[in-house]
Amino acid sequence: MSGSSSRVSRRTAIMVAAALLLQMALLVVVLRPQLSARLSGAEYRLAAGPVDPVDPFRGAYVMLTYPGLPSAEGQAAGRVYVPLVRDGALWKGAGVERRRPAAGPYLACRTGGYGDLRCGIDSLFLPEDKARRVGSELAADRAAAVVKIDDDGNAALIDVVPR
Amino acid sequence: MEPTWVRVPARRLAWLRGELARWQAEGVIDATAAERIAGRYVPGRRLSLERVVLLLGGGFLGVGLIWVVAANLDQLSPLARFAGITVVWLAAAVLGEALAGPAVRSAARLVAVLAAGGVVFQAAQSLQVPAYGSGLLGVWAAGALAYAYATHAAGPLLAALVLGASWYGWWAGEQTDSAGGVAVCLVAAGTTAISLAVLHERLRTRAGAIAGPDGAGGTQEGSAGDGETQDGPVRAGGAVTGGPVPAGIVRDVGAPSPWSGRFAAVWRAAGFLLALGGLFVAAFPGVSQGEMYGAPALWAGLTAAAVAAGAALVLGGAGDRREAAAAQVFGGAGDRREPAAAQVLGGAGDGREAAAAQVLGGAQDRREMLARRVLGGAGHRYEVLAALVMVVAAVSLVAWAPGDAEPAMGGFTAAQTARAVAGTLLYILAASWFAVAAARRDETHLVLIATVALVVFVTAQSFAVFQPLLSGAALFLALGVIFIVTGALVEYGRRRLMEATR
Repeated sequence: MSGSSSRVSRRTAIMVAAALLLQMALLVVVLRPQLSARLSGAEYRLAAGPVDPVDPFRGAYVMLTYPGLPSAEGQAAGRVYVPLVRDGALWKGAGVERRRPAAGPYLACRTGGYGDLRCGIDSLFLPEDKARRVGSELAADRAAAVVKIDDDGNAALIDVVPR
Repeated sequence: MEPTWVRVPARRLAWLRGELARWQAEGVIDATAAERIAGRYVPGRRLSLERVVLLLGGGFLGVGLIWVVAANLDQLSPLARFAGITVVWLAAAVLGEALAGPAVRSAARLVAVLAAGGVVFQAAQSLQVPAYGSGLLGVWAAGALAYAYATHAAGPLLAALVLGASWYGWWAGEQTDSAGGVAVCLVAAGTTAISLAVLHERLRTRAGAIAGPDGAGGTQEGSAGDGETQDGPVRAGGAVTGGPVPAGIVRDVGAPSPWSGRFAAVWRAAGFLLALGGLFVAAFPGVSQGEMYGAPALWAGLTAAAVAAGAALVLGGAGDRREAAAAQVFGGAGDRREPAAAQVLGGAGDGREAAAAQVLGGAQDRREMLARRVLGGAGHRYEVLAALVMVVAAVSLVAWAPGDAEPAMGGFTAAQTARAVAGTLLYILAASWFAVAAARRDETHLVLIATVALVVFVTAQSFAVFQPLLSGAALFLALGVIFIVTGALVEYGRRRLMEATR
């Protein structure tokens, strides 16, 4: 191969490496809330229940609902905040606010304007045997979700444990 | 510069060899030049059997990788799964550049694009990130786009545009919460894609136009059967003159990007489909704008369309002026300068080949080709302006929501009928324009897309409009007549269009 060809291939290699790095960087950006919560958040326990115990198309994948969190009924679509207060061994939501609370802990969530509340802690992927156990605990109302929440209200679901 | 080979269809190669024999017999070129010209082309199909098999294999492998992620294999920890899919992704990306065969490279690149999706979704799954948002798909699409431009490969670009269109449609749907909002977003995305296609083409033709009306002096893509070359005889002319080009002639011109022609075709096809998809939705009775003006996705799409269209209009105009200047140099100088120009363009060794390229169409044909190029430049502007008009029309159409979304039992009101007719006319005009624009470029597949889109639209609209009015046998009779008439008209129009542009 000529020198020109090797130059081109080196340039292509650099461009491809840059493209792959860009994709990884974008991935970090889109996952930043969960990464931040996992790396710098404090641990809280919330009461949890099942919505859709096991998704047949995605294997051991559980959609959770949080009985202790309020509904966003009446709120326009957009970002909302849910301050958390202690409720025995667990934590629960104390209303939905449009403004970021001055002090934590609180959850930074989004609502689509239909009363729904999405705080990034709704999905739990589990190995199949553990999913069965968690599913039965959730259905019996004996489970609590372990979440990590950072200072900005970003939350990450860590585990579901017996209460 | 090492000689390059271009795969061309066997019929086109037979035509070229026939022409070469004729020029040789007429004394235009000698046997050596004819042999050198013919030696630059090899017969081949753009989509050979081995290529199809390899691409299918790559596709199955990639989909299987994503399925492995979705299956949430519990034998492996999330970190092990993430590491595994990342290794596969990086290995495919390395093989995509390191392997020798173009078809194998394409298959590896396809695996790399699909495995990148596996990496994204496995990372999200490992962090328990809900998959109901469009962001993950957006990251996948952006990564595929960057990869496509890094590798200069059209396959990853096609995948990136499919992913990007899906992401944008999803994002728009999340935010606008109305079919009308999504429709306008899709038309805006189509305008952006069409404008980018024009920009890619200007990038390609700028150097070719200055170097000579036949594209002489342009570099030829596709060494040793790249397999993705789509050039026709005009660009094949560019390969004829491989000699050094004096700096004075090509000054101020950047090197043409070998991939920009293929990329322009992919962007244009995406633009056609997005714009027609948006107009398809907008034309349906009852589709309204909802709360779309509060959606950042809409404004982002409109801004992107305005910026891309503006750039295409400005740079396209500049390109046209350069082509006109090239016309003065290469066309206006007259036939007496042709032999000298051929010698200069081709250099001492390739002078005869350059002469062959000049004589390829004869002086008259060359001027016609130049005229077509200049007219083609104007066509670029019309193409962008037409896309902008479609955005305005889509915005107007979804803002026009007379009465209830569902037609009343007795059929449409006068206002609803007027709206349905306006939507139908708009779509038919848009599809016809796209068909004409594609036919002018001799891009048969785009003509086919436009005509199929027209037939699908008429089919859907017939049900939407006639179903409330007719029932039972009358409905089927009416639809049968409409389909037969539509099919006959579309077929007739397509044939006439292709004949007119030949």
